[in-house]
Amino acid sequence: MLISRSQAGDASAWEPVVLAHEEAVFRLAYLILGDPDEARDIAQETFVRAWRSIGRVDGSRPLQPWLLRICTNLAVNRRRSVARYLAALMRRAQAEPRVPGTEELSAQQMEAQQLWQAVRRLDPADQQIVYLRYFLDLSVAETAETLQTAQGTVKSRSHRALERLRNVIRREFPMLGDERSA
Amino acid sequence: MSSMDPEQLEERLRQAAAHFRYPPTSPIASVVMKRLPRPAAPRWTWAVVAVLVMLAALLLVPPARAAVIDFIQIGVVRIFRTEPVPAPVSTPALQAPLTATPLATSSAQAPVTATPSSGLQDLAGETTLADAQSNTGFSVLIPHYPPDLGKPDRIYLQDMGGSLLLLVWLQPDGSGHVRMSLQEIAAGSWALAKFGPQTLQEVTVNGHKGVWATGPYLLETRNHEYDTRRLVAGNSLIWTQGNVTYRLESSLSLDEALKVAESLAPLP
Repeated sequence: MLISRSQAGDASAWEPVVLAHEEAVFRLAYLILGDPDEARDIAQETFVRAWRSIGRVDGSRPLQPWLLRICTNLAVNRRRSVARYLAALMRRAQAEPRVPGTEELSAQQMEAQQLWQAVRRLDPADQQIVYLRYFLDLSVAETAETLQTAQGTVKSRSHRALERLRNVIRREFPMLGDERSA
Repeated sequence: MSSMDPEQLEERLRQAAAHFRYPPTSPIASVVMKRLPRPAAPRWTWAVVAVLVMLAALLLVPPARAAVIDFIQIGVVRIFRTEPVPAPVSTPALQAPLTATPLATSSAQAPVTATPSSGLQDLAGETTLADAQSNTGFSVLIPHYPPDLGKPDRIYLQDMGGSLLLLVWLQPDGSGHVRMSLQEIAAGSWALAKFGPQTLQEVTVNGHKGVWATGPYLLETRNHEYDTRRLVAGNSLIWTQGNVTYRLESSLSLDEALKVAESLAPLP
């Protein structure tokens, strides 16, 4: 109902749609970009662009994979943009980057952060599949819909991404293998 | 973990994801709704608006005209003397200058979370000076002042309907801090706008018109796909030669920046 009203140009129907999906979209953007301000920008832009294209959406299909696809494309493009690079340079110029103190994180949260760092060593395509399948906990079917690929491809890509992640962990994050691995 | 099979790694990832600490989701819906096009207003509404606009124009012609012309255009860079009125898409975050000089108001900086330093490794278009020269469509110039400057440490070239070349010199102490950066921007690629710099001074660089601006100021970077705004504290010298706009950002004084700018010469 909300989608069909949105397609008819009723902007008031779009707000509940945004509210329903904003957390997932923001989180995916944050995982890709690693910057909450940029993630917020990308999330906003995702919903604005989605609104402009809502007329082309099949209302019988789930909306979230489509939104996540828009978000992924925008975030990946942003990550590679010169504008973002300049901003990153500015941050690097700070004497001491401010990161959460380790005392603020529980052991499980710390491990989650370290695993995220390991995932970020993967190439962008591998990162996407890991974020969608495991961090956002999408099903194979939902991931396939988001990436516009076959479910079998999602499975094989996931398998390869995990293999590469294991190699990254072995090389660069051996501490992740020291605990709870048995 | 290295000895774990894929199923165990999957489970570990799911557990980690469940404990992953995301930043709080910023209000998104309210901003999105403001950005959506408003429905067409009834005709009588437009008539009222038109009358109001005409009245406002009659009352406010001198200051309005002053505001309209109150900017300086140097190549692709437009500098406004005052802050923009409408809120940008994103809330500006105060940034350190593009130099190694720490910003005094660091408490106002955008929070940096447990994020790997990104940008350098992610940026597309890293290249060499020789390749940049082959692909820019204009003659790449590099500074030869100060004498110890040497060649840039990082060179990036992106084409957005026109080339943008970014040359970066890092501090020699190995800290990774930026000593100086120079953008060489072909017409039609990017547009930059600055709002309300602390200092705005017209200068000449090798006889070409230029502008010296000091921060903090709001810098807007725009091309066909992106539109970002950030508050920047830094000194920049902007000038043009032919169809290329140059923007030198550093912590140098105006005199020193001019020496750098006037030392630009083609690659050997």
